[in-house]
Amino acid sequence: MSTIMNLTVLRRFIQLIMFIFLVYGSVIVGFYAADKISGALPSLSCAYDQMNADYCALIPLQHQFHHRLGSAVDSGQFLMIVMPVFTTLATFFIMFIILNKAFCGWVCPLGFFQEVMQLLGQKLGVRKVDSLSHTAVDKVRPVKWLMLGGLVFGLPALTSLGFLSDEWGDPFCQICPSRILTTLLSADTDQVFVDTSTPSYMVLSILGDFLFGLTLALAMTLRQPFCRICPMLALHAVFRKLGLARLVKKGTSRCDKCGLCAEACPMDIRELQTDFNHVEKSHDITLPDCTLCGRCVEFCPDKDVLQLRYLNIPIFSADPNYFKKRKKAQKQWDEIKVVNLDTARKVKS
Amino acid sequence: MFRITILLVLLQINSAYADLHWQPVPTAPDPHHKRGAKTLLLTDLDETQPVEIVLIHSDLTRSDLSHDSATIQLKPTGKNSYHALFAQQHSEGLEVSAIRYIYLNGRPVDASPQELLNETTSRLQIIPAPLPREHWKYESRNSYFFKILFDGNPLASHPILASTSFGSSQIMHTNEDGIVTLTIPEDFPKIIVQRNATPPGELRLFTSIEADGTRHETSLSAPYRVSPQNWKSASLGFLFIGFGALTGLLLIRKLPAYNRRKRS
Repeated sequence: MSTIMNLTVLRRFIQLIMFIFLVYGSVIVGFYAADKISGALPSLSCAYDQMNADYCALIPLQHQFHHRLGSAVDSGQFLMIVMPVFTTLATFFIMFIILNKAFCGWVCPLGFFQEVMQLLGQKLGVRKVDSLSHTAVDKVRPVKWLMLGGLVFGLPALTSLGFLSDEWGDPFCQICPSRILTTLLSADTDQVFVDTSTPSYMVLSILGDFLFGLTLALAMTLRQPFCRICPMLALHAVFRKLGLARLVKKGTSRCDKCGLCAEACPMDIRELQTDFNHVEKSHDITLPDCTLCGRCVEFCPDKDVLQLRYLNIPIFSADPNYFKKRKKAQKQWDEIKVVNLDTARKVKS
Repeated sequence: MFRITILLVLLQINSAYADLHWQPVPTAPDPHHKRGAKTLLLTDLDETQPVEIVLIHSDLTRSDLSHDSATIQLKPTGKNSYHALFAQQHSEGLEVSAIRYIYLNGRPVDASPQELLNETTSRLQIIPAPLPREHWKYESRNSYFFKILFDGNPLASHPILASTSFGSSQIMHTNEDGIVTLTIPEDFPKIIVQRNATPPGELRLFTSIEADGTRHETSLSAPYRVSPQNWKSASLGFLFIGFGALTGLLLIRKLPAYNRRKRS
């Protein structure tokens, strides 16, 4: 392995290709073809982005709950909501079963953008926070479930049943940083606004803008800040045992002392180090926050302790030789800085 | 210059020729987004001549809707995407047509909206370039492109009259590719500062040409909505992004850094 050929470089290359396709897809596949792809695949549709080709299951789910639940309850015809939701989830599964949570780590444009911001922060020498404290991680982890349950299903359902005004029909999209990011990147500023028409719209639009700015800045120092609370991560987590791609561990007694895998993980999954040590058999450790980025496998120094598997076939395994070269490549890369704005404090253990 | 004068004479002054165009007949709002029939009226129809009305479905099949009345009920076709509602009248030395593209919901179809636009309807055509995608509407203050074709060829430097149901009108000319750029005016008599609260206006494009001793006139009509710029402030939006970024930068300085490796 040369110093620049490794799994992370391959992943970034795929992320870049997917980013171009998902953000500028209509230029590639054509204006109407993009519309058709979006229409035919509800798991790939962002109604706000006119240039994409496209990628989110969350807006059809919100719309179906917003527009159909009230009518279904009124009429007693629950098929009118079950069928569209089933169709959305079925098309989501097509993509999900193929990719599993690798969608987050290899495809999602917002995830890639945060990684680019992190690289930018590192090259500018902005203070790097490798990890949040365990307490902070434990507090942040449930937020993604609240986002999924509350913003994707709960508020649209309450709106449809008449408990909330119409503004709360697609609350997640109103605050989604990806909506602002992908439209801005296609030179469309229409999604950057404060909507003064009603108090609810004003609150949602301010939250959306603020969250985008916050993500932009935090991503320069903390890895994947928005991914940690993204409802798509939660939706993937629900079905993660169905996907064909897996992260598998066959721990050894050394795992307890090492922990390089946990250090490499951009999502602060400390269980990579603490769970399934001293075991005879491989275990699926595709944990709820995992994005299948494979960094833990790259930085595991023991042979075959961690593996990325597809259809249970190992496609990338931990290897001591790979580890040595990867660590050296990372060190060389980290030393390259354009400027040094680092004001780091002493790291707590 | 001569053609402009002719167009002005024919379209702006109360001429003997009809400005045939489609316009919607308002119906009661549907609170549950059910897919009911749409009612459309063929305005300025020459009652003395037969009219041919065709609905070109999104899958490019055609339905003949010709009948005696100028009002038609357009029922859901069960097919998704744009449909073209086309009307045409022939008389001695005159061919008049009107088209309107209507988005209907239903199952996906194989044909794209571009294939629908490529369907030949009349010799003289006004073609949106492109049609708005789903959730994207014509809005005041924004600019849109339209292509003018005669026998399938673009008409360069050709005049086209754009008018609205609120009385605005302007004459524009196509470029060398037969494309005209229209900025829809903000001419709503009363703007309710909330999305979808102001009733939409009607945009009408007219053009005409003389060829082979026959006068060809055509129109394209479409609804347009109030620009959301009336209640959306981009500068405030950028300001709050700035606040968010500033908060993030402050947090960066405050966040304690931990090492997530468990030390033995």
